[in-house]
Amino acid sequence: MSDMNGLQNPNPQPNQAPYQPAQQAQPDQSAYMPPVQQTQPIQPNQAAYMPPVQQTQPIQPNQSAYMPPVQPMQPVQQTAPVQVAYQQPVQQPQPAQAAYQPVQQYQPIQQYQPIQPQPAQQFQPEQPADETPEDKKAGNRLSRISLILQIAGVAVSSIISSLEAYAATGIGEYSYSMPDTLNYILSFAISGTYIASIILMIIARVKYKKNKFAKVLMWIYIGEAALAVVTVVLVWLFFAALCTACNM
Amino acid sequence: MRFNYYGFFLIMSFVIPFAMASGILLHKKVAKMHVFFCAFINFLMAAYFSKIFALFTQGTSTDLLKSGFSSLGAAFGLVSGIIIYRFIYPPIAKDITDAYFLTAPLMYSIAKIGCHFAGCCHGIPYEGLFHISYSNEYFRTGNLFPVQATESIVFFLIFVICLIIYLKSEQKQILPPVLILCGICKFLLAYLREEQIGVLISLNQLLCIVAVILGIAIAIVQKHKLRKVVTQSDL
Repeated sequence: MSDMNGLQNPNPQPNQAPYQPAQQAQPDQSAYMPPVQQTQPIQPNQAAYMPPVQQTQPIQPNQSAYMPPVQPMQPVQQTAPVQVAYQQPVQQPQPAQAAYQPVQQYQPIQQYQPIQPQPAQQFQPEQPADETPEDKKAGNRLSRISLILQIAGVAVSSIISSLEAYAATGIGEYSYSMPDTLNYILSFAISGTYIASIILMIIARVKYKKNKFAKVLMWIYIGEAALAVVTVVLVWLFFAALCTACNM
Repeated sequence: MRFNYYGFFLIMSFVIPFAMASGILLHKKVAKMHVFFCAFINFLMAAYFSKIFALFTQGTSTDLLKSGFSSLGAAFGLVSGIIIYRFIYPPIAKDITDAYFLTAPLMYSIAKIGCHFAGCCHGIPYEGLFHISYSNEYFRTGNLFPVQATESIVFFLIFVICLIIYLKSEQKQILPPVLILCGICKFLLAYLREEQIGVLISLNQLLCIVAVILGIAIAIVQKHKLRKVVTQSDL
């Protein structure tokens, strides 16, 4: 049977073309294809190994020695179109029609509407009902640092003021005046520690709302600020009244 | 007992703009706690850097409490406070920035009224219309150009212009117009000050140039972002 390979067929018949599976035909071209000249449906997997159609060829004498008498051959109706092979491609989905669908997607661009800013409350994360141990620890740490900075600023400022007052009175053995550069740095640092303590307290209050230490610290700072304002106003009024009395 | 106009207008320069900024934030439904804390931080930073800048640039005193105030330092402190609160609570960053930058020209305008009464940072010698002169126990001057009053009026007009832009604009981008207008006006008005005589460009003017460049850069970036959003919406 090796000599009956289709590649060695001396008389290739036009019905060898349908060796290709019928499903591979282009859907758009199926309606215009000539009739497939084959006598029986061909399976795609077997197409490469199928022998050529021998019924139409004359039988050689050597081969016919062991064969039964050849019956008169029926003419193959090669011109008869295979109806099934034509109907299948027609039933396939029609991509040509689908390709026209996206045309409807090109709608005119709507007028640009700028994004309006959302109210800030919508962005606020939900706070947990109870304070977790980690949050409590972190909040307490921030509050502790804030309190230390506040006390350190006040303490250093008080010590420097006392030393300056001591030097100014001339009671000490040595007269000492602080260099301007050191005074700048100390002024910057002392007020900086105060501001840093306030900022740390606010961070603790904003990030750990349930923290009691931060809450107490906030009210301490508010009371301290209020007390400072009242003291300044009272001192200012006192000296103003004193000056007025002296001028009189 | 004389009324201290300088102190009064200095306090008012914090109270009125901060109250207005807080009102804007409350109108935008920002939580009261954030409004209060933000105002507190901004006040502290503005006052602190105002004194620090005056301490380092004016050289009138070595003591922080006895030194004067610097408007440029206050502006720097205000920006620092806004940046700090942006890190503390980012969701309201844009609201805070818009509210406080919008009221910054008003703050400067009110503070300059105090300077006009006190006589500090006065103008060049001038004999024309609306000239002023100071005569008190500290100093006596000839006729001067009323540069403080001029600055106060100009910055109030800037505030009104920016307020109109803020109310009319749908994007509510107030940062570039404030930086550009304030930078240009302060740069030009500096030449009407007495301390500017013989000085081509001062440190304040250099910082004004930086502010204008920053405002232009922010405007370009915002326009690029807006164009990107429009392109994405087209796709």
